[in-house]
Amino acid sequence: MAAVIAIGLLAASLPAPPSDPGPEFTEPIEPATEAGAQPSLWYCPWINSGATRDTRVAAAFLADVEIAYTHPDPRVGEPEDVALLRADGPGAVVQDIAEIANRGDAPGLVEFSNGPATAAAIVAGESSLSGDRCIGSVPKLWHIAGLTTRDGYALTLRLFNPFPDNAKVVVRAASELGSEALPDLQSIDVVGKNWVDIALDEAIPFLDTLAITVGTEEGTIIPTVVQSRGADEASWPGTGLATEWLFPTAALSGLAPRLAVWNPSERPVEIEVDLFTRTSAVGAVRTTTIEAGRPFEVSLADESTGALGVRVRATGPVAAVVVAEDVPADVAGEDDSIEGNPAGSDAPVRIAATIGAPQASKSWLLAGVGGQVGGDSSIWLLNPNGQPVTVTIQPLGRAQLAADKVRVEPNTIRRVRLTATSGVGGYRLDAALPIVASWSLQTPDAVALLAGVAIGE
Amino acid sequence: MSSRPPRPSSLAVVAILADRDASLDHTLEAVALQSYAPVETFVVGGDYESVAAALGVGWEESLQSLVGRLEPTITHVWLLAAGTAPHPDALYTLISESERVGAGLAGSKLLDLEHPDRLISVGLTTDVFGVPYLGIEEDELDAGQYDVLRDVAAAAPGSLVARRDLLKGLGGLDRLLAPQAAAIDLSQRARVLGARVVVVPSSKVAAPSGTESAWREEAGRIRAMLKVYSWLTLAWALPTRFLIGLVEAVLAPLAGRWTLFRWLRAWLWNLARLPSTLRARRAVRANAAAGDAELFRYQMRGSVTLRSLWADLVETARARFPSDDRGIGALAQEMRRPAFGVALAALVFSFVATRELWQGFPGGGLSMPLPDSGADAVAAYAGGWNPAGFGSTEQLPPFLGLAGVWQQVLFDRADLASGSLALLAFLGGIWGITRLLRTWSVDSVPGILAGVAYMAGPAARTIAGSGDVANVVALAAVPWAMRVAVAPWPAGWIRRIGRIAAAGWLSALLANLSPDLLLLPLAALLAKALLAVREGINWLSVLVAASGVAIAVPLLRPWVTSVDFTGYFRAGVAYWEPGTVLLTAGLLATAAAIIAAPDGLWRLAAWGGIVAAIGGVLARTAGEGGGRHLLALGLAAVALGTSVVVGSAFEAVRRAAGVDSLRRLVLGIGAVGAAAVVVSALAVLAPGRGGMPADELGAALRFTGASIDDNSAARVLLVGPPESLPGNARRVRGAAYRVISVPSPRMWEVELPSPGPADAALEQVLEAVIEGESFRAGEQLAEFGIRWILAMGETPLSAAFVGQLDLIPLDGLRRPAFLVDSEEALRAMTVNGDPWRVDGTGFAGPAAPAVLIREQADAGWGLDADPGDWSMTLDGSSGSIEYQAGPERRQGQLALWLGAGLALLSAILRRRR
Repeated sequence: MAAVIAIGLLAASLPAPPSDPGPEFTEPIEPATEAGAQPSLWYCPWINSGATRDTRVAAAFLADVEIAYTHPDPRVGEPEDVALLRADGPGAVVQDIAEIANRGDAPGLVEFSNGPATAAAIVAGESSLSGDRCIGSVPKLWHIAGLTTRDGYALTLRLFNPFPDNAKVVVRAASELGSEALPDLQSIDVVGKNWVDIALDEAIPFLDTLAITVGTEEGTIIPTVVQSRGADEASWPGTGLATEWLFPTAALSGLAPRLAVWNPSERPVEIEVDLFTRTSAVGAVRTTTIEAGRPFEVSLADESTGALGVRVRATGPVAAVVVAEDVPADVAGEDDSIEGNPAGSDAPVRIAATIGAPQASKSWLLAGVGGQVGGDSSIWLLNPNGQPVTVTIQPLGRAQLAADKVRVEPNTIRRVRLTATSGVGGYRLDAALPIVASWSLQTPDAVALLAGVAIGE
Repeated sequence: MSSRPPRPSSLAVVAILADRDASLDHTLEAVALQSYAPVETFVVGGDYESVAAALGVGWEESLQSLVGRLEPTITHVWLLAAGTAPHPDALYTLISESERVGAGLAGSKLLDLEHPDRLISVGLTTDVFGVPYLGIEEDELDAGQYDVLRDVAAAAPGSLVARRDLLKGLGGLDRLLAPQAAAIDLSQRARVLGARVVVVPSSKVAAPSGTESAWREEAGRIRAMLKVYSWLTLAWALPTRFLIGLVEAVLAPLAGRWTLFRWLRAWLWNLARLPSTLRARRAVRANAAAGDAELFRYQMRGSVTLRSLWADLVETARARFPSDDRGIGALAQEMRRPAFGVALAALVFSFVATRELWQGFPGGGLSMPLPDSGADAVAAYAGGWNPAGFGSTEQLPPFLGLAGVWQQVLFDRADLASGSLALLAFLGGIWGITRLLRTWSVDSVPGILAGVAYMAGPAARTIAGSGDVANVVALAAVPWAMRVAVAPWPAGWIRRIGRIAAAGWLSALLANLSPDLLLLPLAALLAKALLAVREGINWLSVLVAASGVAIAVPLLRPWVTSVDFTGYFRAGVAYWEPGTVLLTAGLLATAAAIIAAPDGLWRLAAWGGIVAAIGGVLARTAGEGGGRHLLALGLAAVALGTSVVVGSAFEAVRRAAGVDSLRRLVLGIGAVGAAAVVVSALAVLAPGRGGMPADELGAALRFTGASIDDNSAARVLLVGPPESLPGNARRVRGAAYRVISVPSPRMWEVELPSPGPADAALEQVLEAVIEGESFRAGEQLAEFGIRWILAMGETPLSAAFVGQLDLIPLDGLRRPAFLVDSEEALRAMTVNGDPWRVDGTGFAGPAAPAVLIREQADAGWGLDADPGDWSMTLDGSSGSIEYQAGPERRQGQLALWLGAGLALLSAILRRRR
């Protein structure tokens, strides 16, 4: 009996094995919004290449890469249009999408086999220019602010489903009047590897200030909007939420800027808007509380006659967009301070918009800027630091080109006008302190604002 | 008053058929006392010329020569076996009665020479195959109950009288045949010539009850068939006879008879003598006056062999029930005994507990269905391809080979093999424990209950719950391997050799079912010997068990020479946490039996308790690096120890009449504990899988069968918590996964081999997916032949595949699943994209000069294979590609034959008298 007890006690005293630690990750790592040193995939939902518009997709990369351009065919069962390109890095290439899929709308993907790399799509018509950087990360909910369906504006929401499974999309909207009922947009089926365009100006017309949230019940979706006014149009993608947004440029060439902020949360958020000019910063030009589930919009045209950089800081996560356009006729008469031609004359009406950057970074990659896409392009630098910073501007193209350096004073913005150097299709920017970079492209009749992509550490 | 027939006018001679072992003296004396004196007496055959001369009788070399030289006045020849003692009127009644009914051949009633009141035979009835049926009970007394002159299929060989002319025409007895077969042959040939064959019971002859060589008799019967039947009858009778012999060879061992080699030898003997048989046949058929139908008239329907086999099996089964009453008449009384009821309940329990396994082993844990082909399983085990994961040359477990052999016996039906293995395991385990405990005088009711606790108690259920089919089946062999070691040591060196051989083949069987348990019988008996070091009998049993292990180890080849033992014993985790209630119940039973059991039963309980406790230690050695094989060994020891404790506790209650009331109370408490353990076994009844897990994997993979045709093959990537995945799993960033064949993974895929180049590459792909660096995982997975991804449980790895451009989520399934959006997600296909299917461990499909096989490359696949790659382009012009097995195949075959030889040797030697 004693032996049984003794051996039994020995058995009982033996330690349990260490518990299985399980997976070292709780969920898959979302693709970074930054350009990192790994393969990357960029979704470019707003591509139109047909009779009235041309789209060029610019790719900038810092390593030798293989680039795959993929454009799903909307006809079910038809193979995708795919183009492959191998390039030595650092470099940049601009691909005319008409050479791959010349069928009008052709949203697509740009895959890089190596990084850092990024892509931007620029859609140019006879009197229009739009585009923005492509999307590198896919949040579960997308937020798009800065929209309007007032008279004279067209607004299209594109829901691009690049994945093989079908998506069931839910769109929620809020205006200055509060939450908007959208019964027709509560369950939108988007077939895999296809897209759906929704005319929001018809679905919810005559709203001055509009913001939307796009989510899915099934599948995954990449949304973008195209806001048209007259011949020109602006396009900007959905973003996630952040408590700070930085915009190196909000206005140029006489365009009247406005800042749109969308608070989709269930509690009010206080925001503070700081402006940056070429010479100084103006802190807290606007402080306000945005009610829960409401969009907010403020015109920045009164704050400066020249170029402006903007910083929005909020007590809760918000989405923010800067829209710049020629002043509407009814507004132009009231405010003479805005530089340039107000709308209402025979001159074409221009509109541009861009998303901001949620944080500053020491390195940036700007795809498309340079001579390859045509037009006048400028790089915009915002130095939010209390010290001056020297920025190295390295042109990227098919050949090695010399870098330039510029100094940006503390708490200012700086515009670097670029000469149309052929063969340049992008820029790499490096600074000792975190900065924010974007770029603009303009033609005599149109203008586009495009965000830069930070390079990961 | 009896009426005596008239004295015959015949003249007869006596031919005494000499036998080297039989005495002529009393036969000659009995002949001399015959009331009807023969004309002359001869000794026929053997080297008896001088002896015959000394005794004053004639001698002839053969019966044929004797008949040839007899005068035509001689009408009859009395064929009398040496050693027999005919009654004085035996010849008279034989001749007179046969003349009266016009018989050409007449036989006497044979009585036991030593017990003249007991019958040996009253003529022979045979079946169509010439197998005799005596129609009398063993040791049946002669009360004249059969004393009717009648036609029979054959006359018994001891004493028969034949007409001289008939005998001359028949050419006498066939000298190549054993006596009984020769008599049957002679009778059949006589009947074909139109003669009547009768038995004359009033002619009594006392004969020795010795038996002739069984194989010679069987060989003779086959020869007799060949000589006498028409070709049409032979066309069905001969193959049927062959199959009946095979069936008998397979099943007779269950009744303690070994007929395989007798059967083989008989057929080979006939094959060698086929020319002489055909010559003899020509002679018979040339003069045939009657057809086969005339023979059939006196034969019984069906097969005497099969009837006898069935009777033996039933008798054996009945004999295993604990009763001294073996008579049929005692059956009713037997059925009223508790032992019968409990045994019947155990039988029903085994059937019900394993009923679902007749559809095949479930897919879950370590269990998967057996391969479709038993031959493929054997080939894969013995030097063939290990198809688990991406394939390898690593050794498969021996259970696969053994199960494959069993499956081949059962017409290559995997479902039959699975069900029968499980049922035999339950029956064998319960029966084995009962027999083992009977060694120590534990009665059958406690023994059967202990057997139930052994096969379905908490420890066994833990083994079965992990899906460890091999160890579930191997459990059944443990008590038998112990029983043969603890059985009384036989007298005589031949039987002792038989005992060692039996220990050897039983240990080899155990080892080949599960090497994990090979040492359990030896270790348990060693523990028993250490508990009573002065009892030499215990040490003898240890020696026998050790001899068995020593014999079994070489018979474990090729497994034993191929396996990495360090990795083997460290694979998995050995940590068992028994349920508190049943642990307490077991402890109560142990303590009560040790404290209060009478008659030395406490020693048995103490031994069981110690074995169980040591098993508990082994089953919790994860901290020391113990793996699942040690866990299985530990759990089997717990099961064995628990069953011994349960048997002791119940037996103690049975013997409690002589103990005081306090001890009786303690024993009662112990019995309650033991009963709790036994009752817990009922948990296996409802699912009907013998405690094995549900077929989660089969159910989860069923959707793949609907979307892949039978002519193609693919893999599925399973992700989920490790316990939700079958067999073992690999890890990427701590998340478990593994690949498996679809739609029907088989048992050989349970254990993943050591990681190879394909595993490393797949891990890299999954890393990239997790890191968000991969956007077309489907394209990458297709290169591994992976067509689906299936989440068997909650895992963040599942979410990693959401948002991939070429993975299609499959809606409507119970578990998250993705389909690879690529037509090339196949394991094997031609360069044109035509799929090939899996064929055993190889591949087959439309002939093509080049076929892409996505398996770990190995030289065994062909010269084109690059060992560093996991896909090969091979020549498929023959329409199939197979792995060329290594030399281990021969080792496996050798082990099988050696094992079978040992079993035969032990059976022969142990039963030799």
